[in-house]
Amino acid sequence: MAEPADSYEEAQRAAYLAPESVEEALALLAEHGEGAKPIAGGQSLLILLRWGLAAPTYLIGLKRIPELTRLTATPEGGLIVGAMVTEHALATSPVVQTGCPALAEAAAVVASPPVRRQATIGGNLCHADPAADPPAALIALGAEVEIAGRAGRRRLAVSALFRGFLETTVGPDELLVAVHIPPPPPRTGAAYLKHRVRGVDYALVGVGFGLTLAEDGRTFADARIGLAGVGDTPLRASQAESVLRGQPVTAESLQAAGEAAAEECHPPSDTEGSEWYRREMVKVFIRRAGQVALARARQE
Amino acid sequence: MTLHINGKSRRVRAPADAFLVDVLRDDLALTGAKFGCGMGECGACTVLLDGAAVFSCLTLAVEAQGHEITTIEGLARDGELDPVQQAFAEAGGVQCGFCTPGMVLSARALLNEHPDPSEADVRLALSGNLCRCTGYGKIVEAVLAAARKTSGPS
Repeated sequence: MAEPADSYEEAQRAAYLAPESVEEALALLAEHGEGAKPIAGGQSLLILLRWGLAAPTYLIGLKRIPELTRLTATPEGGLIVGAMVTEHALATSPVVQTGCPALAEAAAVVASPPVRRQATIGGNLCHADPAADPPAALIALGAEVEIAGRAGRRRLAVSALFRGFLETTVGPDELLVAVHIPPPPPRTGAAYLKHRVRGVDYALVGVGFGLTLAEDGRTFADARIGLAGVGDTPLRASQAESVLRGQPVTAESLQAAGEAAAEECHPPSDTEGSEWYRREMVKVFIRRAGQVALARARQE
Repeated sequence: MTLHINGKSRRVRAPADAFLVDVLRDDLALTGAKFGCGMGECGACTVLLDGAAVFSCLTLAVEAQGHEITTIEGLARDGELDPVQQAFAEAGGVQCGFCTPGMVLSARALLNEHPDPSEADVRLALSGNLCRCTGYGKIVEAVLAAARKTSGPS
């Protein structure tokens, strides 16, 4: 067999390590410092590697850590999703489809089928692409991430995970190990809707919308709105949420929430859509996602 | 590292961070998987991993160990084309051919899971594979024809 050496041109090569527990992974991250990079499904990181945008000296593979692949419904009606659960698994799991349809919807529209086979929820969150779909859905679901460090584990709202463009608050010696989705209160529904040009594109605008109705069924008791594609990070539309709280369930209320969200986001202008267009689509998709979430809340 | 490819064990010397597509093409001379975009956009590098379509440009070779890898070279059995390949040829689903290995393997992966797919299923399953020649119509026709031929009377 021919020697492969000639065809591998780049100078920088990374070693590959495959820990079998979270503790072992954390020890490797501590040992190798900033040069170590955890690799989950690789569907974002390997692009950066290929094109020289990231050059770690150690890749810490996470596929052999059993804790990270669990997908568990809690007795209270919540969901624990290990960081290495794939988008494909989330999109096709009956537990997620029935118990948490907004998450299944978001996972089902990430990139293309071959990417979804390998891409993971943890990798998606840690890559922190502002136009990724799952973060907006998880914000709408009030989800938290569980982050392991050598000093112990901490929990953080998904909306507080993102620091800037492709940047999170997970430290270089920490590992995002799971996503916790709380059990929904009564009369709660959530949905994720995406606007895009081609089927495989990132979100031009994505809206995750979670809402809880008051006992009368005609008033918004609570709302949580996550936005994709309209900022430097996935966003939580706090203004739009407060516009809805206590308001009657009407088209006018949803319209007002859409206008508040369009105001508080800061979309880019690029070849796929101008800033103005994205703001208009935020209004449209808040209305549509709100209607789906409402229908689900009423079925509860 | 040792890779299981097309039913055979292949030992290969490659760096720990080598991409599967490069190992297939450069070390094993399996050039059916094409290197297209290198960023998961075009699907030309699609292979099967345990029967499911994945992008070999977004797969570390080292992580493909322990899985059954199928490339387009391994699809025909005993000189007989896979029904999907046969259908592509008959329906005219091939023009320049660059996307064809990926298209055929994505279709094969679909039929592995859903032997009797709808046209919408086919279009979704092929959504990660770009073709710049055919306009997709004949490719979709070919996959549906292969499904009809193999899923038996329904």
